[in-house]
This record gives sequence, C-alpha cells and structure tokens, in this order.
Amino acid sequence: MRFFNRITFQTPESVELEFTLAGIGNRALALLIDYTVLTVTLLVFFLGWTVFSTQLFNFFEARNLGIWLIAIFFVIAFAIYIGYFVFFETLWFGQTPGKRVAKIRVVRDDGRLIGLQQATLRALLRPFDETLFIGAFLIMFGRREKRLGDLAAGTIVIQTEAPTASATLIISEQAKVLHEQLIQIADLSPLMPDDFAVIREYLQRRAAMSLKAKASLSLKLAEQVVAIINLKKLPEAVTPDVFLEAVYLGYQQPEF
Amino acid sequence: MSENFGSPSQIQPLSIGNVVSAAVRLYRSHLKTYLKLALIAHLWIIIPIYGWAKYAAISGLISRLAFGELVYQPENVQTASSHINPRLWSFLRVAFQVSISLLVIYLGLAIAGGILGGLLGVVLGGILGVSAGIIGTIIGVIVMVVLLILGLTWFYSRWVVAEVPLAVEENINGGESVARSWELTKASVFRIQGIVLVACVVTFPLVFVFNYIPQLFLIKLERGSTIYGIVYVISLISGLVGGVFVMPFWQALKAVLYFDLRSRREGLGLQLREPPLQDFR
Repeated sequence: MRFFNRITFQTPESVELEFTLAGIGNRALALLIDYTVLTVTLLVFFLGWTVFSTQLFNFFEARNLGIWLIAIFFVIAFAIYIGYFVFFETLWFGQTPGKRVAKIRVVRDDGRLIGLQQATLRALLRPFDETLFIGAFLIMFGRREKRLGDLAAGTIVIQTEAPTASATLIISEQAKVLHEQLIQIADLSPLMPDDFAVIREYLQRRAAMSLKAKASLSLKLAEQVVAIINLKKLPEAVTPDVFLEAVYLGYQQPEF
Repeated sequence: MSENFGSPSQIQPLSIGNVVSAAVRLYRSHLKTYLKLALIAHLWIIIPIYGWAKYAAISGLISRLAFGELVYQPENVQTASSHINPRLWSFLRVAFQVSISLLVIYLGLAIAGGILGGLLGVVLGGILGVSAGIIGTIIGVIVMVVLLILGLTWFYSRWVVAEVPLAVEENINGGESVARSWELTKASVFRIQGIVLVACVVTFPLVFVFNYIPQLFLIKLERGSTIYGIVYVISLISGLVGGVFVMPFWQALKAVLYFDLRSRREGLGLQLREPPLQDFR
C-alpha cells in the first residue's frame, strides 16, 4: 500500500531488497507491550526490594543504609529498563516481545542484522527520545522514521515479512471433480499469477466475510474468471465458490 | 509468482499498527486541507444545534476525503461537500444516537459495576476479616473500573465508524449507517480496541501539550480568582486548538478502519484484472 514508507537496499551481491518501514502505529503498539511487560517487571522488583530492605534493616542498624539501598534500587531499575531492550534486541536479532507481536524488527541501515552495539546505543538514547516525545515526532515526520537512538546507532525499523499461508485452504471434493472437467473444456493459461493470488486471497478470507457480501463477491470473481479464460458461461449446477476452488486447483498443478 | 520480499501485499487486510500508520500518513499528506476543515468545524461548535450538525458533517467530510484516497478515487473538497451537505441533519442524528447510547451504557455499567464491586468488597471483607475491608474495597473498585472500561470500549468499537458509511455510501440514512457500523465490526471488536488504544498513544503527545499542560496550571490557582478565569479561558482555547489538530487524525483513522473492515468482511478491493482484450490500453 502506498501509505507506507518503503526502502530499497542493494546488497554487496547486487541483489535488491525492498522493505516496508515499521510506521508509527506498529512502533507505538510494540512500545505499549514492552512497557507493560517492563512495568510489571519493575513492580515485582520493587516489591522484592522492599521486602529485602526491611529484612536487612532488622539485621543492621546502620544510619546510611537506607540511602544506599535506595541508590542501589535506582541503579538496578535503570539496568533492567536498559537491559530489557539490549537483551531482547541482541538475542532475537532486533526484536523485543512487543516488536514480535507488532511484527517489526530493527536492522542496520544497510539491512544487516543488529548486534549488541546497536542495541545498546538505541536503548541508552531511549530516555532522550521520550523527553517531550522527541522520538515520536521524529518517527512521524522523518522520511526514514528514525528516532535519536536510530540516528546514533545507524538503524531502521522495518516490518517483517508476512508469511504466505496456503495450508489453510479447504478445497471441496466437488471442486476436484469440477477441476478435472474444467481442464478438458477450458484453457486456464490466460490467468496470471496475480489473478490466482486474488482467488487465493478470497478463498482464505471468505470464512470471515458476511454471507451476503460473500455471495456477490464470489459471483463477481467467478464471472471475471469466466471472461478471462473465454468460457461461455459459468458451469451449471456449481456454486461460484466451488468454481473458484476448481480454478485455484489449476494453479497448484500447472500443466505447462 | 513473485511477491515483494518483506512487505505485505496490497490486497491483504491491515494489522493494528498499520491501520494507525496509514491514518497518520493520510493525514500528513493532506495536512493543510484537513486542518482547515477541522478549524472551521471547531468554530461551528460555538453555535448550538446547527453548529453541532456542521461539526458532525465536516468530520464526516474529512473521513470521506480520506476514504476517497484509499480507494484511488480522490475527490476535492467541493465535490465531497456536495455529497455531505444534504445529509447535514443525518450526521447530527448519528452523533446523537451514538453518544446517547454510550451515555446510557456508561450509566448502566457504572451501576452494575458498582453493585458488583461493592458486593465483592463486602464478601472479601467478610471472609478475610474487618482489617481486609480496605483491600476488599480496592479490589471492588478495580473490578468496577475494569468492567466499565472494557464494556464501554466494546460498545464504542461497535459504533466506531458509525458516520463513515453515511459520508461515503450512496442511498443510506443515519440509522442504516449506525447499523452498518454495528454489522461490520462484529468480528473485530478486540482488534478495534487495540487500534483505538494505539491511536490514543500516538495522539498522546499532542493531547498532552494542548489539553493537559494548560490544565496543570489550573490546579495551583485559586478557584474564582481573576487569574484563574484567564487561565481557564486560555486552557479552553488551547483545548480547542488541540481538537483541531487531533480530529482529522481520528477521522482519517475511521476511514482507514472502514476500508479495512469492508475488505475483511466484504472483500472490498478483491477483483481480477479486466479481460485480456482491454488490457492492452
């Protein structure tokens, strides 16, 4: 869709790779999830630390202990906050739990995977990006959607590829029979891969569609197929759905 | 068959984040047009009834413009207005119907949640002894709030695109428009709640600057004093300015959402190319 920033890389082997940048929405979603996880983690740590501190106080009665404990608490809390992002982005090659859900990934400017160095720089600059929402504005208005951390570390955030699920297609027995007849009477070769992609998309998504819309859409698609393969009319006694399934089978078993 | 590596193909439905991103980009690429309309809409608010109808209609107008971009049939403001203006009162009707329904649901949920939360507090207090009464009350309040938020956003999600069909489709009236929103969102409530949440996060910087910061000043000031009055007026104006900036985003978001819901529920955009003969234009 043309509403997303796209970016093209040239690998050293002169292979061109095209990616879609993550976009503010996905990044906000990832942040929301990561911060929820972090908040819970920090809360648990806070409770644990409080219990630990009171125990410690029962043993020693040193004056300065309280200040030290608070100082250590903040150091560790900061380490958890930074460490969370460094740990996951290094271990999962640019993804955190939130980024996994949002299906996005941090990569270097040239498309290579990020390492410890980039993850650390990004994490350390995160607090600055948060101040006055600088990062959010940079992502929204920048051409390459880079926040300060991305600028410093030389990284971008891209969408991970959507897996093309094809296993979930249910083809009826009736369609298999029809397919046998169809290849006798019609030539499916004028159908282009793009056409099959549309048919597959319909077959995959039809279950979620409303009955009325499904009926009219399947009829429309079937009529378009009929026109493309120069069939006189839709085969009789078959629903458009079954017809489309049969046509789709033709793509799975190419005869040429 | 070759698909673009690493990018969702055009005919597939949008993910939660991509709905929001698409809305932001739509808004960005038509910033001037949308802002001007939003400004006019917010000036109309001052006038009761007729002004509110204008506000609702202009909101719909922005959604219509955004939707036109999505289906590759962009319109200019004049053409779009000629579709919107005759339906002025229908837009007000939709706005009233949705907000009154939400108000009634809110009250209902608050009462139900209050009773449930109170009962829970009493029961927990009874089981765990009087000292646990406070904890019981806290849990009760939390239950009530969670119930309220979940219930209210559930209903809001069902009516989220209520005015968009009225703005986009031909031959549809206000009531049908609301019903259509209800039908389209049937299987997507959870997703829409996510989208609304992410959209709130994205708009937070703007809302924070224009709405929250001026109100922070009010806390320190004495109620009824002159300076309080002045700051109050400033915060009101600033809030309106914030509305001018945020409203087009929500309307664009609704257009994207409507587009996406129709593509999921009705397969909008799924079609084969023209027959070969006409293909060699």
